[in-house]
Amino acid sequence: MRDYFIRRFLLIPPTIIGITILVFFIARIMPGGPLEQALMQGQMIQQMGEGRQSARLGEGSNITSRQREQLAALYGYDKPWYAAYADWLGDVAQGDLGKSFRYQIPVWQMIRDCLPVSIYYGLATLFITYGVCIPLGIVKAIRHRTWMDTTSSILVFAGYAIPGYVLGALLLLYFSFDLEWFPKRGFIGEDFEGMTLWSAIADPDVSALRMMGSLLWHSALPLCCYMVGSFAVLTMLMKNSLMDNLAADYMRTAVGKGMEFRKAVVKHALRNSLIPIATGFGNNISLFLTGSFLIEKIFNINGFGLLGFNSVVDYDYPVVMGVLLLSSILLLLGNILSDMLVAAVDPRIRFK
Amino acid sequence: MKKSRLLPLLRLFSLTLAATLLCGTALEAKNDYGYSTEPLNAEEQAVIDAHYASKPDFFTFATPADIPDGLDWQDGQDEKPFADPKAKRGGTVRSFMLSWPPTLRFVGPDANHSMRGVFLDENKMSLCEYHPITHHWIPGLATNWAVSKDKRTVYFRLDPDARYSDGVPVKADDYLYTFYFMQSEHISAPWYNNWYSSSYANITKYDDYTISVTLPEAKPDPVYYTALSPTPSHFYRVLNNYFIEDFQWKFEPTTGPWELKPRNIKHGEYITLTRVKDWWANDKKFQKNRHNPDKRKFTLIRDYQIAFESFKKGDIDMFALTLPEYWHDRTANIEPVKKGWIHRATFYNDVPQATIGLYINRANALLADKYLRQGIQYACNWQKVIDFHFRGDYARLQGEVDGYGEFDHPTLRPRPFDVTKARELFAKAGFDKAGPDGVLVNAQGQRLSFAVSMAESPNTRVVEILKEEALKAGLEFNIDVQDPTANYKKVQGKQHEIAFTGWNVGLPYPRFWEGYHSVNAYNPDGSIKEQTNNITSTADAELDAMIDEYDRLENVDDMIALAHKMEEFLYDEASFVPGYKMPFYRLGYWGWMQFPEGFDVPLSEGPNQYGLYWIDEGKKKEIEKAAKKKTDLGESTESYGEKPE
Amino acid sequence: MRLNPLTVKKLKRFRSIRRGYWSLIILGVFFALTLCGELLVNNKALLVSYDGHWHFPIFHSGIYTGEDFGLDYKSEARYRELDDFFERIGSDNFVIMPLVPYGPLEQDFRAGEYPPNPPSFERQHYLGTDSLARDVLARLFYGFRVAMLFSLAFVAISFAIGIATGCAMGYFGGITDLAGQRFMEIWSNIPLLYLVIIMRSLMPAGASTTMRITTLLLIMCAFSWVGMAYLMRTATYREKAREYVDASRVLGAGTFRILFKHILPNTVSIVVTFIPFMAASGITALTALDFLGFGLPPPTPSWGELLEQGTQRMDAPWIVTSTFVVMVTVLTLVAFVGEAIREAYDPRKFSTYQ
Repeated sequence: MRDYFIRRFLLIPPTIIGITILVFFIARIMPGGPLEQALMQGQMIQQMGEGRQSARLGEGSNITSRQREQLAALYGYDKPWYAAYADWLGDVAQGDLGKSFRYQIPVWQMIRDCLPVSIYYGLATLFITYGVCIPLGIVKAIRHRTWMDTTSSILVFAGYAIPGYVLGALLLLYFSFDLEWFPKRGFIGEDFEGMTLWSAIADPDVSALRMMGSLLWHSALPLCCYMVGSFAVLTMLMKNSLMDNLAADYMRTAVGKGMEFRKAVVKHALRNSLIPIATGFGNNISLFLTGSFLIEKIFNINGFGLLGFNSVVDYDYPVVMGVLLLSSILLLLGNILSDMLVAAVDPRIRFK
Repeated sequence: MKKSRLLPLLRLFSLTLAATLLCGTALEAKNDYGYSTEPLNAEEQAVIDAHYASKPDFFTFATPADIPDGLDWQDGQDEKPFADPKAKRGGTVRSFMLSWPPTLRFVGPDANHSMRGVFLDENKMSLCEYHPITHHWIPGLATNWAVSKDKRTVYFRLDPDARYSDGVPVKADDYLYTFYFMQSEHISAPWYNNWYSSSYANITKYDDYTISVTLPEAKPDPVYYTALSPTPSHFYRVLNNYFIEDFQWKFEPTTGPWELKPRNIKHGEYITLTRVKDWWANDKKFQKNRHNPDKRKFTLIRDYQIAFESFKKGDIDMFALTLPEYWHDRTANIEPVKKGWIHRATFYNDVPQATIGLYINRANALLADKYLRQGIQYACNWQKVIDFHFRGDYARLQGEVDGYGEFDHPTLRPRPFDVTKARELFAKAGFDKAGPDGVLVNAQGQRLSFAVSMAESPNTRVVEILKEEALKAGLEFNIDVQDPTANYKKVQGKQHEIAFTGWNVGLPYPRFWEGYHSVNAYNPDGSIKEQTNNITSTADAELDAMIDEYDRLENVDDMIALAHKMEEFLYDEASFVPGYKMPFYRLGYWGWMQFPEGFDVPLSEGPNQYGLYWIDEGKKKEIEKAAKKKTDLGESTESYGEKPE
Repeated sequence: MRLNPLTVKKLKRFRSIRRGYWSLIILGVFFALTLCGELLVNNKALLVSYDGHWHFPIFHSGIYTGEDFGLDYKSEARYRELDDFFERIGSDNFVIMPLVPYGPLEQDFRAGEYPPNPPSFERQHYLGTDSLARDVLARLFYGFRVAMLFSLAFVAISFAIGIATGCAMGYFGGITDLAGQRFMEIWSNIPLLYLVIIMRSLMPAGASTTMRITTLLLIMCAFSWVGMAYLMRTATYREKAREYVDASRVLGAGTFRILFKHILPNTVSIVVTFIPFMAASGITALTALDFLGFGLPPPTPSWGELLEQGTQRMDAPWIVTSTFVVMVTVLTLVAFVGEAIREAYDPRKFSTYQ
């Protein structure tokens, strides 16, 4: 068993190399890229802005091939893709993710900047989702095929069907702009800006509670959008797994023996039916970092999702690679964690 | 005893320390830009001098005695100022930006972003400026200028008052430095390198406040090309390989009214421009009463809808309502407009029109047929696009040249939508039978179907309308939408059949060489030449000859006559289907924003370009109160400027 | 055809779950309607009676031009106009139009009015028009067809790949399994959006709409099979270890026989229960891509495009509302069907203690 997990960990690096090499290669064969973007912008200088120099538009637009090569070198396009990849990998091995093509800021700094917000939303979504879905799933399982089950199913599935990004726009327009119940933008109230939770607790003037309140108030609408789609899967999982166990022989025996149904559920069925829920928990690790960029865009959240999306559409390849690297590592770790949890909660399962 | 003698010493020491600290902070307060405002030291100057020395024909150092006699010095003081003397200084204009700017650099990779104009271009004054009403020259950083007899050289006397926003005076050296800067490979901007190397022949410094700039060949109005902007040498100093990184987030000191201080940037939130304290041109004749607010705050709002809602709430002061739906649907019936808290204005301006339309690639075997291209012209229902999609607000673009005054052709008009004529011409080109889906086919069984390539934008709707209508003439358009860079690569590689795009054009004269000369279509070996503006692959010896002659002409009347001839030629060739133009800009603004009587000047493309508006703080309180109490102040929707017929 | 008694039992059980059963019926009827949608929602006439002859434009292989009906244009006849025209001149000729007389691509611009126009029964724009004056109902209707066909193909292809790979990995095990797992781990980490963008930029200008849609479909399938493959791998592992497999091997059955005769039929419950969820995810993914503008090429009718228009045009609530309602309804129905199928296949999961 221990060997199995060690092997799994040892497999992470080759997998990561596989993922990054593939994406790196694809980025290279793409017909439009940072170089074209630079060329396009350069020609725009002739076409557009520049005040009156644009008068002779295009006359300087034909740059020499040497100049083109120099531009290509800026983006590492002067080398064959495998050499450029080797360079990148070498830097990563030394802890350097490189610099953004577009912002000239270290990629790690860009990622770090959006971590707090993303982790906050990831954790909050996780807690609330589990907090709602587990009780709801239990009630649905016990009251299977009653009106309560049907209505909550409709609601949950409707939520699943509603795209969070559309809901976001509607909520923001209605609750923030029309009714002004919620703030229009920002992650936290201005009084608390630049404060960490710790300094807020230490500071007697600012009550940590008030700070949390402000945070929740600011993040209520985005949280709704993040969560609306995530209830369905977990609720149904919980419901099915509990129903599974309710139908199990040991439950029949327990109830048959005269144990109170309520007690039997809590003591036996519930515990066992939480196993599949627990095993799925590991996968949530990567969920922290995969916010929906559309929701982040509408609510102006500088999160990981938006960073990833923008880097793809801006051809900011160092950032694309950095985001990819981090998210795949987390995903792989999450997979292993899931297996570990499975092994921990269910001793019958053995990995070889 | 010893102790007592030490004490005063100690006290003295601590006093000195405090004084030093105080002085230090005082010094820092004086220069909070984070760079030295000292002139270049001898070592640095030597590097730059070496560059000058390497091009002795280009950089000349002379004495005032070398200025030729008999020059006709101009000062533009006869022109009338165009700002409103009622304008008041002060207040903050709140605007938004849809994305965070990738850099604050003026040149280099990613510098050409959407906010550069506001932050930098509009803040860079040049030697002379164009009077936006009379189109005559008025002083900018120069007080006087004179054009040489051969129309190649322009002499400038610099305004000794001119200062950068950090207080450093603007001198002749900074104009020479502009060439050092723009010709340097360190800035990674080859287009600038080329422009500043090939479009100028010489710059001469006579003294600290007198220079001349010479062009390689004579031009009808050489001031246009020689009115340079200075580059602050004390800021950029000697360039090196780290230029792109070093200056990514540094804001160049400006000669214009606004500056951006590091403390006014909150990353991912907002950027605030502040008015330069005691701006040197505050009381100059043509700058007075302009650029009135104290601050311009740009908040990052990534979603256009949300930005619009913020405007409706009064969190943003001005909002462009140029898109017809925003004018006719989104703002027409809302309370703030109906009750007169938000005002709306249409301003008809008079600027050269971008050539938006369909560019037909003649390198395509079928599209090489002139009749077919003429047929396509008749099969495009632009009028329907204008009438319905643009609500009849926009107008049909008249041709390759539109908005250049006398250069516009007096009689040629674009071909209207005419199914019969289109079908006749398609038949002439061999497409005379209708296929099972109504699309014409020729004897070889080829369908009359072409891909219209375009970059992703809301304008797909325009092509969707054209597509539906073209089918009536038996022509099929396939819409080929791609992201902008992929589309750019396709069109620049001339891999498109038809491209829907537009070129922004500039003053003073229409240009033909870039778009229609054969050297921009094919290489000498006959292969397709990529990366040029000639995306119709037009290559015609007769036209080439005309274009070459046009570029040599020094007399405007001759140029106009020849331009008309070329426009007729291009009309017949029918490779460009003229689309639409927008002869105005539209603005929604909260009632406290005040504008001059005529609203803006004809050459203006937006309220910030000439900065003629101001904020009335008293009115602001009034309107905010009215908005709170829902008082009706009466709607104000006005139209200014001259509406074209 | 004789059904396996077990299957009949499952079907019966499915029928007894009313919520899922009726959802399936409703969905099926909807889908069947859209498949013959040209008869219901179309700007071509069902029947034109002209000078004593009957014409059926919908079933005609080519098009009837205006000239065929005595009008003065060579392009396809505009049947609604033709209808009005016949009525106006009071001839014996007549036109029968479908229920909704608009096509999904047709732009119904009217002088002096600017789309989007609100719903109007008089004009038979029952759900109004979009920003290009196209009938919202027609676009929703055909958008449903496109989405359903797309997602059925999506399910079929990704299941085919997933089952094949999963079975192979589970059955052969060893190096195949290891390599397959590594590959899947790598593959599932590639951002889909990224490849969609690349696909679009590689498209030649002249590519047809069908080709564009097919490519999009294939790209989406290329990523969706991984989950299925994991499931099938585990299931095959489990089945392979059963005695009956060993028994048949001893009897001389070949690999293919074992796979197709024994293992696959026994894993069918996994496949079937996942169909509705896969179909739903196909629809949502396509809608999201369309919303972003990376999906189906214009002017293909699509829900995502309508949603995008709707959120841009909050002043025309009929677009976003009708799309929203239709989308949520369809996906909820699909989810109910899925739930019922799962229950029908696994009766154990239901006991009550009252």
